[in-house]
Amino acid sequence: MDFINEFLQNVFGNLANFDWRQVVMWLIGAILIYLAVKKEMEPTLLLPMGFGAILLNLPMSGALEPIEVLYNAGIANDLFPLLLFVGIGAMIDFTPLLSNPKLMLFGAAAQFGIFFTFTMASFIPLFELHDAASIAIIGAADGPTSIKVANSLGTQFAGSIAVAAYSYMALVPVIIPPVVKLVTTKKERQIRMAYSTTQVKQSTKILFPILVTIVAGCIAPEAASLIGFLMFGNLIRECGVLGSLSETAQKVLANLITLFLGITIAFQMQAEKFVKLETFIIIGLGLVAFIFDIIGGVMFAKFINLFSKNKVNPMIGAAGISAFPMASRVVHKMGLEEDPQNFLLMHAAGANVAGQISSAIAGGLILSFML
Amino acid sequence: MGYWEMVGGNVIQSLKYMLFGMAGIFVITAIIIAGMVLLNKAMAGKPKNTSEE
Repeated sequence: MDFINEFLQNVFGNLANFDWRQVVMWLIGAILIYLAVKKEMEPTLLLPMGFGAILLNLPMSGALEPIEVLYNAGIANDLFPLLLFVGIGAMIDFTPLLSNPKLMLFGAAAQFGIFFTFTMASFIPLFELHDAASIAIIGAADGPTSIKVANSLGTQFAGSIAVAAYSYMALVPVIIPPVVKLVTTKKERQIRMAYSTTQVKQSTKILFPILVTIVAGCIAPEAASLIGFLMFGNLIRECGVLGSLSETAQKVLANLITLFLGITIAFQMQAEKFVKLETFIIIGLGLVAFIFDIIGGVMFAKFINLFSKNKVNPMIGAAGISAFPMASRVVHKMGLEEDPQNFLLMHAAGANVAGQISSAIAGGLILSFML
Repeated sequence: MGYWEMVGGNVIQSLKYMLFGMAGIFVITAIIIAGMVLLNKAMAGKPKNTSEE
């Protein structure tokens, strides 16, 4: 009998370390994998995060140690998000924005949700001010910015924030249409915008990332790393002499970092940190941030229309959220649904890349305020 | 401790940051737009319509 007991203790003893919250994390991991595989929602991140959530929530998981090494090497010091920004910068074509600079305003307006959510979160006694700021940055609609700000501010909710940020980015096609329809009329959505553009010279495209880095970095020094890495990637793309580096940044670097980023974020998804009331509140506040980003962009476009002779389709404001390129595609599609001859893609893409810059600036400003 | 005593300070701070943040973004944006316009003028010369090219 003792032999059997010893056998059971030695072979199955670890099962005694089970915690019901770990099973909840398995379910969350399974849902993330399902969304990634079946619904193709941000699969490059949701799948590693989902698997990581399962892997790290095995009782006494031996994967904890190597993933903690990765976490300390790549996320705790912001390295992974910043390197990913190099890849994202190399993927972005700023031509639609450079040919119509005023679209930059819509990127700025669509960050309203961040600051609105900051205030909303500060009404909840469960969150300290730095937690509220970290939660609000979900509204940046930009994973690397959310991770960078949450980590820099040292919030304990970094895992929930990353999950919410990437989940809502994946849900942009579901979130934008009803919110836009709520705050616009059919007539407004049918506004056509003329597509005439100034020719953008190669030299302008080269100088633009340098200009943005200097301006944003001087005014909001905490934004220098986010904006700087984003613009570095773009400079590699546009300079015309680093084709292979640009291609590497867009594909190999971005894929490699994404691969490790997802599973490393899961380090913050350990049951004892994740399964609590605050997580659900954070997920709710993330949705608030996205909704008010969209409303901010749309209402700003409507405000511009009060004074402008050339009317702007207010849906362009919704493309000002950072989720690139999905937000612009959704707005373009909505425009075509309202009027099959209304092609908004270039305007929406301009606002969308502006949102990418503005969200990094917003992240930098929040860090400047809080640190 | 009452509810407002718990959160009041944070709410006022966050409202201040909301004001500073949105104002800051628009100021930086305005400078970048001015820079873009100047760059376009300096580098591209007169604006052209793409349909004419």
